[in-house]
Amino acid sequence: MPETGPAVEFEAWEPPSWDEVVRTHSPRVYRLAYRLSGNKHDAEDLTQEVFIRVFRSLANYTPGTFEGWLHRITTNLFLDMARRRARIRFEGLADNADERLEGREPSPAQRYDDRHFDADIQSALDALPADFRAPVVLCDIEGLSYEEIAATLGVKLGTVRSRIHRGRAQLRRALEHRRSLAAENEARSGGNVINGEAE
Amino acid sequence: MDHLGERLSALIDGELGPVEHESALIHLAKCESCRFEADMMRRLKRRLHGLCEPEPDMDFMGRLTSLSRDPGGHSGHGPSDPPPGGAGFGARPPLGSSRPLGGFPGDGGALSAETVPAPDTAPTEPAARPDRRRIGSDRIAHLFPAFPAFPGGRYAVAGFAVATALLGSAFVAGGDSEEAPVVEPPLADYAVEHAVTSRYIPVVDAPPPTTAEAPPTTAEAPHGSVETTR
Repeated sequence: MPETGPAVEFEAWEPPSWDEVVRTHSPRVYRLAYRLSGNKHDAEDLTQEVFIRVFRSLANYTPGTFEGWLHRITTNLFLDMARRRARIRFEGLADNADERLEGREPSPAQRYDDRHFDADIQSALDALPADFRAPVVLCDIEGLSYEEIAATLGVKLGTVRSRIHRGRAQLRRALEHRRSLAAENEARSGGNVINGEAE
Repeated sequence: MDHLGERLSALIDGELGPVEHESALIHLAKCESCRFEADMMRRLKRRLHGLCEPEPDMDFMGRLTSLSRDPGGHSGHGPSDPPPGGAGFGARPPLGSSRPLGGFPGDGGALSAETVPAPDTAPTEPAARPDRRRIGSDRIAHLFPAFPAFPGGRYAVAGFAVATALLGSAFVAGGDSEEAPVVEPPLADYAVEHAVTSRYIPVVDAPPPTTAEAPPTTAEAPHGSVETTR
């Protein structure tokens, strides 16, 4: 009897179909990608990049380790993207920074629709440098432990702790700043809500 | 007294060790500013955690699902992975170009027209045949002196060698000889191995003895040197 156990299990387990993999993991990957990148367009791009990689290495699929791996590649792809953009922005900032920075984001109206409820906090997140944003998102939104985050980002535990702490401190300042801006706006009894967001 | 600083985040996240945790709580009890900070941080964490979860569109999900039919087709970022092995096709030396069993004829010797029937029995080979092909058969041939007692075996091996030479040249027949075909079936090696395992040929490490019946020929010597430089 004990011998048949593993054999049966072995036969019962089948590699999941691609549809199953997409259905099971894409909402989670998308959510993380969205929180990291801050908009729907980039979130979709990131998610797609992740799944292209998943597809390539589907042969290595093992149920237990998969989630951690997804976190890792999603986060790292995001950091790559952020660094690439930072470079581009830095190089081109002198010319027409406003135009380009605006162009890279979805329209204010779309943004407003996208995150009607947590626009404030998301834009505060967006303002955070990528290296701080990633650990904060992984910790507070994804609920990963410091150890898991360290493994995901390939940095030391102490680095994770300090980045989370500094990231949160910056977030708080940004949120307070927004709140005071909003208060000013209301006091002027002018503008619509969207303007407040566009700064 | 020291404020909690970074430890505050770790405290909120439950990431402090038991001793540190204890002392942090003791500090909080005494320090109002840290208490306030901790409170704000907890609130922020709750807020982040409570963000509504964005859902991928159905049609985006459809696109992901269709990746299995078109993997990487619209990635647009970076080149696709290089083929396994790294080096391009044919970038490595062909399989048969290793040191032959029985060693090289150090001085280009041990070969002679008399003991090498292969070239004689293969008169159809084109004159412009690449050296490499010839070496394929020579490699077999220079083993012969090592076992003159098995003429039958010798001819069997010679047959292999001819076949090798013909097949080898068949490869180049269409192309422009020297560079193009780098893949070369190491039939010569197979033949030698077969001969060795079936005990036609004793395995020898040293160059075959230069016997009287196998004087060095000037025609073959350059091929030997070509081989060694490869």
